[in-house]
Amino acid sequence: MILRTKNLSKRFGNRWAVDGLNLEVEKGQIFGFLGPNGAGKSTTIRILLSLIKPTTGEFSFFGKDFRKTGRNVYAKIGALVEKPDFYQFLTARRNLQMLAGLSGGVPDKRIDEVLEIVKLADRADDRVKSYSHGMKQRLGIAQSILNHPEIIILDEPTNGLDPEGIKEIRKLILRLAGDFGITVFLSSHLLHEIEQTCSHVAIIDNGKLVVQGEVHDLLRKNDFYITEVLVDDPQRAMSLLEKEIWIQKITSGDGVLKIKIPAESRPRLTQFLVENGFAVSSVIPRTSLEDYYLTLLNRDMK
Amino acid sequence: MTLLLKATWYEIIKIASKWRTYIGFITIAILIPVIMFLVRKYGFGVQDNALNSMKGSFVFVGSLVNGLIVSYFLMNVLWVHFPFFIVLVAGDVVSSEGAAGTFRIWLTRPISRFQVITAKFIATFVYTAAIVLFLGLLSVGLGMLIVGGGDLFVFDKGILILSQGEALYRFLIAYLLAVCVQMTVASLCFLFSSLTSNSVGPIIGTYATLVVMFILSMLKIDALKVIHPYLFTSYFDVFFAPFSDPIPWQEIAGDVGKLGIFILVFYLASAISFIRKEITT
Amino acid sequence: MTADSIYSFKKCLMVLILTGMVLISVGRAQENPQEILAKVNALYSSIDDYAATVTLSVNITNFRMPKKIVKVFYKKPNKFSMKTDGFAMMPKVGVFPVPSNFIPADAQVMYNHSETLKGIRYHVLDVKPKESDKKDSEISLWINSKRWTIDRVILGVKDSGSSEVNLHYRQIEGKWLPDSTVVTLNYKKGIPKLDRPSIERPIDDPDVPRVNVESLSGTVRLIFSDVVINSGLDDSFFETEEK
Repeated sequence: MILRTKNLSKRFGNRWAVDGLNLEVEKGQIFGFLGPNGAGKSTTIRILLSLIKPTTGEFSFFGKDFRKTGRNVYAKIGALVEKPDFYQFLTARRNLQMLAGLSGGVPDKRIDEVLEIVKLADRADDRVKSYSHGMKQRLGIAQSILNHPEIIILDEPTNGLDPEGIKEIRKLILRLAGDFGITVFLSSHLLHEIEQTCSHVAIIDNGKLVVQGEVHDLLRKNDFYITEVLVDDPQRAMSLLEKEIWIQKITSGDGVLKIKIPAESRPRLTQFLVENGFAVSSVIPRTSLEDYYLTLLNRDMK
Repeated sequence: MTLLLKATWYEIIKIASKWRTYIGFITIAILIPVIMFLVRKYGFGVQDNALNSMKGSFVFVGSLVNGLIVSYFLMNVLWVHFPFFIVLVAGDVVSSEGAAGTFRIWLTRPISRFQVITAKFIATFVYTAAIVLFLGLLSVGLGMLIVGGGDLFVFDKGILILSQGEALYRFLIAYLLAVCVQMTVASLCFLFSSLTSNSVGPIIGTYATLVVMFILSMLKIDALKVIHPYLFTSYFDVFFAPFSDPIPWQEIAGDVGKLGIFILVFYLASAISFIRKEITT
Repeated sequence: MTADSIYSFKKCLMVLILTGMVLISVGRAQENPQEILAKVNALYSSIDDYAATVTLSVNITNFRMPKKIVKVFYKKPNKFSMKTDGFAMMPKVGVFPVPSNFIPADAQVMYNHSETLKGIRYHVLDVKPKESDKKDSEISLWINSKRWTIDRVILGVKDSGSSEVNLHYRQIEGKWLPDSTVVTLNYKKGIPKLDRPSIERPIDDPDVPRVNVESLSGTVRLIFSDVVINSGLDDSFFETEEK
């Protein structure tokens, strides 16, 4: 277990921002930490990084209670909390040199390496002031991997980025996990990105853990099923299906029907269409993390 | 310890990389030569008045107008004016990081918060010492170069004339004491800086505190005498003590000790505040 | 005693008195103050130039100064120069005691009396300056009748106080020149006891008149060494720097 929290809680005034959180992250996972705004994601991450203190509960890294290991454990941990703020008046290289120094010393060669990984090597000696948001984000990830961490904690790493920037960060995260074996714990509210990036996920709402597990498992084991169906007469199919009470939701677009049904009704759908004389070209499962998440948190509007 | 030294060095780099750090140095570098050239051209009438009673029986040989006496009088700026350059930097050291959000990256390192705040404090001390000693070096050095060297005329239970060698030695002690005095100002400002995320507040707060303390020190009201020992400004004149003869080492040690206590208290309060601070920005 | 012996005694007494009166009148005829001063001036007439190193020690109320080395130079008829590193205060009288140095040209010089001190007879002259700004000052000179040196000077200012200068000499190349001088000061108003700057009083203003200023008393000592006379001093020794 590379990261574990046990009944972790944080109260601000009368409000519990984090309430009895129990997380388990294994080595090698790309772990997504999901939740709506104000759910307690950033608060949890700040507690893990000792930026704020928990009200109750405990957490451990590498199987050792943080109260016993102290801050020395951060030598094996990289982190990026919200938007990366560097010393604008210093160059990227100088910023990284100082952060490397505080991490117990890292050779200059490593600084060049991480800049290469995040594709900022050619801008290393420019002041951070001149960097775009995407570049600062990449530099943020660069500083998080300076000291060869075993786990990196990223809080909303794609915040404020354009689609291309988001894609770059996603590729980077996958590379860090795949090529360098780094466990990644990242929080986001971009469900599509989490689904494409993460192997495991935990969802919190109002400070409480709602569900935790492997993404495919969660999507497979959930109690609803979303599929895209291609038939010869989508309009007639839609008008027929809308009347069926076992159909939870149906939408149509570009001749494709997107249908949400209870998981146990999966075989019934194909049977219904065939019995009603439709030629079914394809039935493709499309239950997304977003669908799962929104249904789970009752945010889905029928 | 290595981590602390590294962190201190980085803090010094950060201070040195900001333009506001150089305001004091540039001001001193411009003002001192101008003053010295003006004195060289137009003179500096002090001893004439003080030695009036001697003119009937004595002939004055040589002159007391030299760079050292100008430097001596320039030390008066260390009361109220000079602290501006100190608070400009000390007020920014901690609060600016809160405002800029750089704590989120800095404090997620293995280094402890105590080491971070101590490194910042030491860096503030380095800046304070550098700018005070720069003033000393420039005023005495340029004073001797432009106006000339010679004996130093000071007031100490009447008039005391110190030979050049003696005077230089006492200037060295005086400026080292001035570092201690200005460090007291810096530590108070540092404390205010650790409590806010805005550097303007600590600057104004420190200056306001200084002004109020000076006023309370100067008012000749018996009831206020009780609080004088608790005002750190009461010990600010220690940097003039080396110009007495004999040098009152015991008095100096006492005043330095008291200022040291203030510095320690402000530092510890900053450290406690910083360690307990929740970084929510 | 017989009548004859009484008569003889009275006769001798009369002779003695008359002789004494004659002698006194003869003596009085020699105690011309101008002549005395001329003899003092003659002492220095053969000195074309003079250079000496003076070690100056000052011990005055509310005034402290380290020992200073002052180089003094004199060149006939009236060139004087004193040089030192930094600053020094030299007494006006007692460095090179040529009467013309401290006796104003228009002063009235009168013979006061003569007295014998340690077996030496001194002529005491009084000098009263005529200039209006100095008319409250008085100078008294004790002139050694053996070697015609000024051994003591008292400078008094009415209602202010006085200073006494005692000069000691030694012979250099046959000339009596100052070996050491002690100036003793005693004035009613001296240097105010100005204090070092403090938080209550950042800078003391010497212009502000003070009440109860202590009197100025103390001594200034000059010790002469490396005396050289008639060495052909250049006029450049007497050029002053504008400061």
